[in-house]
Amino acid sequence: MYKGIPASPGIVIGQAYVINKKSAEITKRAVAPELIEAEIQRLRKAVEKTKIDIMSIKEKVIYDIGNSEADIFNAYLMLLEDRMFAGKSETIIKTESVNAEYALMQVLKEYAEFFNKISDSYLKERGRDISGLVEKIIKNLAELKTKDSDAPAEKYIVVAHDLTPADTAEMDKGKVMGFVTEVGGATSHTAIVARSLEIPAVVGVRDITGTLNTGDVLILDGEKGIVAVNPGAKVMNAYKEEQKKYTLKLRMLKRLKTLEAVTVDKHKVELNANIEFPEEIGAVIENNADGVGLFRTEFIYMNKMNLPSEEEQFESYKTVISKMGGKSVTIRTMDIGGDKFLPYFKIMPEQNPFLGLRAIRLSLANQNIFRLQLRAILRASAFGKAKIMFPMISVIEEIEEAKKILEEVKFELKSKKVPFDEHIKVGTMIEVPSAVLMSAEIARHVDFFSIGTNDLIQYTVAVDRGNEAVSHLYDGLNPAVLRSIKMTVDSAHRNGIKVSVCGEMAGQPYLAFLLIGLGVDELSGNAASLLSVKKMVRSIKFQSALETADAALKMEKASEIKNFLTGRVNQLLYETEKGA
Amino acid sequence: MEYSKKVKVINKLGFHLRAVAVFVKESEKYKSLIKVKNGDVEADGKSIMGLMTLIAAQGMEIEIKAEGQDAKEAVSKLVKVIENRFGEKE
Repeated sequence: MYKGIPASPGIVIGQAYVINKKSAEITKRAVAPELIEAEIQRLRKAVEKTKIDIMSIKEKVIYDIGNSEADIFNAYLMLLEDRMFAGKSETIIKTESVNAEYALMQVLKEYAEFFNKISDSYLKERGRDISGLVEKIIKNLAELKTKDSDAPAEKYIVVAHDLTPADTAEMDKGKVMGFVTEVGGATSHTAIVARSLEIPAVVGVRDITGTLNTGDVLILDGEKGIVAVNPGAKVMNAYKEEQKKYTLKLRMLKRLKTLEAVTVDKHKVELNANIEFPEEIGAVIENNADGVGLFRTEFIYMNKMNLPSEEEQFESYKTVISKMGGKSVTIRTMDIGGDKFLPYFKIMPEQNPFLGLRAIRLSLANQNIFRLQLRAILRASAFGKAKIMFPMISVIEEIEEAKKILEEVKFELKSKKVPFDEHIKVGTMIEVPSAVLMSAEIARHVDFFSIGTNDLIQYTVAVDRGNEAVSHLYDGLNPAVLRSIKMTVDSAHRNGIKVSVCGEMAGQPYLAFLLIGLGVDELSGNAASLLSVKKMVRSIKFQSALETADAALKMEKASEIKNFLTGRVNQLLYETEKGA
Repeated sequence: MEYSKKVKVINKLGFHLRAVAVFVKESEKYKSLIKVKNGDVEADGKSIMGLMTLIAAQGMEIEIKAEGQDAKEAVSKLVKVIENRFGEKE
């Protein structure tokens, strides 16, 4: 039984699919004489598998870019077939009676030393071509250790050290029942994706990939953060019972689907959903969201070997906009950089990527890519109600420049008589302290604000939420964060514009209660959280939320606010339940 | 039959992985035993790994040797491959 951080609710029982194991240190292992031949076979199989991997990448590149770019893959294939390369490793396995990984590393070391002796820095780089290939083989060797190197045919629970956005994008989402990762917190990429796909997930389960194998039976409890491995009949039955209860609870929530999100004293809160893949729109409609409050467009860029064309982007946006049938879809322009990279788009390595060339900064520095995206969004806007949102605005000039480019693109479309929504609303994300402090001025330039609480917390408290050593400081209830939200809301309302919160805070009922009290007009969370937030909204008085937020704003510590808030929420829910 | 010829590496990146792959693909078309020499180091002309260890950079003069019935054609073709910068632009 493993304990981790509950990241997305629900209980599933199914077999594990262990992927991208943590790349462990290569250790030297003695291999018994009678197993030498098997070890050599293992190496050969891994090399074969690597060849197949490379061939499929090559085909993808030929398809996406063209023949000339695929040459390097031919070179890799030839290298894999080279006698000196694989042959040397096999000799080391035989003569030293060692494991394949170690033998390969010896070969690599030999070449690395050779290339390192050379002063010409360019030739030194040649060593890297080879080490990249060795890494691929070692990864395949690791997989050959598990019972099954490929995904099971049935549905499965993905178990991984970490899931990058690219990993998730490549997944067969129809087959994934749940996620378990070794790293990450409740606001990690995996957690966000799991919640929006309504798939149970547990993150932060240390060292689980080391002991699990593909095919092991797992019980995953996304609400308690528990993962049970190959459980006995007793545990299994208990969980099947829990699963029934959970389904029942879900069914109760579903009854709220068609009801409005209004407080007892008739204050309306708009409840929207965040999405990153067009295929999530099903869950959005299923939970009857008022609109899409945040359509993250990065994934259209990330799941690729090259830049998506205007047509491809247009199709994705159009699909979402048309499926929402008149409900608004807020499309955020690409938020690349920070921890999100593109394989085909080189971003210079930075000391502090989160303080570097990311989001709107990257778009303004690469205007051709930006214009292409704006054109695709504008064209799609003819098929429903779209809004455009710029991420990570930190100075007024950025919003001015972005809007100027948008006007130019509009003009271009107009002159070509391409239809689009000429009155499309434009907003900005408020997620850095400078934008909060300048929110009154920024509000005059835009039609709406959306507060990205994930980044706002990170930048306000100066904490990297992925860094375990400081992640305890990452807290949405930090008084500085609450005061920033309040300031943003006041600036917006004074200028007659609305404020939405699209960070993870919006999806947690008791935090949503506080946000409503701070005056936030719209909440946008993952589709799965909508109904529980709606249940909360319908159980409280707006007046109580205002009073609670007022009191919280006067407090000095996050812990103090947390105790106060949970106490208030429990009391209010108890009162309404008693009254009902 | 044995043939050999010296040739200067003129492409910018020298004997890098992709270039070497082009060379090996060509040399494999011949039955002759092919060796490439850079200074004191000699490598099998049909081994991509071996050729990379020659560390033949732009400006270096290497020697191509072939032994066998098609040695002459092999040497002249392989010299051409190098003179044509392995099909690279610079």
